[in-house]
Amino acid sequence: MIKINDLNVYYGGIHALRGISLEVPKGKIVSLIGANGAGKSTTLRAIMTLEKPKNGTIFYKDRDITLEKTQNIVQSGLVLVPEGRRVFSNLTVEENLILGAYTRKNAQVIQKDMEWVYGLFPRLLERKKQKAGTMSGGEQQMLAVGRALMSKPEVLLMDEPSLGLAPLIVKDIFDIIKKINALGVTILLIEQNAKVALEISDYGYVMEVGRIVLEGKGRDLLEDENVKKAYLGA
Amino acid sequence: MRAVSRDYEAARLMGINVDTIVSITFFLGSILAVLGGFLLGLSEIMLIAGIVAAILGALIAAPILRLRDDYLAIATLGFSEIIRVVFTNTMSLTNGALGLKGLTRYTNVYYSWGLAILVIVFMFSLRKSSYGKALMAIREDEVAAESMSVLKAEGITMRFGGLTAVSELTLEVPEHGIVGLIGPNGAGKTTVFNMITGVYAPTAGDIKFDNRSILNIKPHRITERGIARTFQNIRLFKELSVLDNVVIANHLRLESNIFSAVLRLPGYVRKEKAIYEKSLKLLDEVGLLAYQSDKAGSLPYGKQRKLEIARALATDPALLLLDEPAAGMNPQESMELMHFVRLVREKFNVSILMIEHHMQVIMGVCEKIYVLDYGVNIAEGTPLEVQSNPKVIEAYLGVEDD
Repeated sequence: MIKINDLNVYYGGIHALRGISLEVPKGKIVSLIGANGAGKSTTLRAIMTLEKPKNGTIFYKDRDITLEKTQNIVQSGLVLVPEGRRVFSNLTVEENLILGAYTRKNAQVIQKDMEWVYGLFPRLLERKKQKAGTMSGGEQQMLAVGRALMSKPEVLLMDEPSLGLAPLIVKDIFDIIKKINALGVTILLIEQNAKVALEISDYGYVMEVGRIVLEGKGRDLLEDENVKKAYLGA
Repeated sequence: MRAVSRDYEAARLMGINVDTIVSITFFLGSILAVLGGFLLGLSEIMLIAGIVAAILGALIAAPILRLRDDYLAIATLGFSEIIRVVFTNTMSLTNGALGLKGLTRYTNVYYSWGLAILVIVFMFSLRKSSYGKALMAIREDEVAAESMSVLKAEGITMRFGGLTAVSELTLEVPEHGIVGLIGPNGAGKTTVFNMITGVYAPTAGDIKFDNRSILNIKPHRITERGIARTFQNIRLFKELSVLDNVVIANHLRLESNIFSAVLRLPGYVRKEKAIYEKSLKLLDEVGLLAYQSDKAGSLPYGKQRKLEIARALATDPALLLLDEPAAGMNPQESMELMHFVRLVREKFNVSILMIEHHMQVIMGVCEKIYVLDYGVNIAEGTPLEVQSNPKVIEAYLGVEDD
């Protein structure tokens, strides 16, 4: 679905991505793990063209999207759940979800999907009319994911879904990620919590200082000595 | 100046075509305003419809004008008057007054109210439409961007073995704000700075710069991202000239390899020249240009401080951390420093977090102050609130000795 080839991105004066190449096959869960500052977030942002690369290409469904406008990319089914959630604080849960379906037309189907999202996240149904800004971190994360789902994505990019969340909630979120994938949504997720990410991943890439230093099947990476020492130990 | 706020990303990430919506809104607002003006000019009876249209037009377009910073647009709104004048005075266009007289058939109270209600209904239906939703999202995104802080430390704790130097501190620096961090010696203030600049990794908690976590990122990369710091003891190259001190700070950002530097290839020479010019400009902006050739060590103390701050600014930071900038200064120099800090914030568009013991400076220049005692945040607020807080007075302010 997604194919990145030799991508170089400069962020301010920093060479943030140094010729990275990766692939996300249809229907799979792929993880990008690595320490803070390794370039994982920049990779997702580059895919959504929020950052312009110096050179290299990004292909989505065999289409070159390297220089496409962000909104067009979203409209073709590639959606990002950004770091720090970024829900609209002054709007209610319901309003946030409705906005998530902005790119879609059929009101009835949208309504059905909203019920489906409430089914995945009962907590959101309880707080339907509550202002998003007054909810806890975990609830905002659920809302961010729910809102992304409202656009009926084919591929979901998730930026650190576990960040700042209690372990129990992290487990919930990752169970839901598995559920979403089972419904056919391709997932690319980046995580500092390597263990929980690799456990559900079909394939993984390890990033360090802007480069991909290791890749392999999720299961294999979990067993890899270097990965264990660097990312699964503490 | 590094831009910290994001360009309506949340809205774009929802598939909203921000540029198109902004343009449509501008047109819509303008058309309504023009209609309003035209109607007002047409007849006093059309007053109601005219006013409603004009007000709604301004309401909808004004925030967008702010978004686009487009002052030409304001002039366009004035076209309503021009159109009216043209219509009433150009015979060929409108058959003169007769042509307009044709329209006066419709200028009665009923048409006026009718048109006004039509416009209002139209606007309300817009809200429900996808256009209205997009506009709402864009406005929300802008509000969110405005209230974003440059730096947010969330519950950071620093433990060195058995000693807790900083305990669950939450601190925020708003964009373009000047925030102070005060407290007795050993309260943990410098430790906080060290956590922000990546020298120490917090035992717990998170630090976000530009809404991205900077935990576990090496100090030099944190500088690259836009956080610059000065130190309590001045660390200038005292034997080098004022200009060279700034040039060196700029050099650290010069991207080149050793060959082009040693062989002095044209590309390198050009970059070097640019750095010299940039450094001179910086010295000019901080008022040290006259001293450019003087030895840094020969400057009066107050000016050395300024130079140190100028060097930190050479890296183009979004956040400036000042560690006791007024240390060792006499009252005159402290006053100058206060002005200087404000000037730096304006001219270089930076946000500032400063540690200080000098109460006059802190209270005079900071918009918000956090008070630390034994690693714990015992108070926070505006200078006035903090000064009158009994806990602060007891722990710290007590008797003023200068």
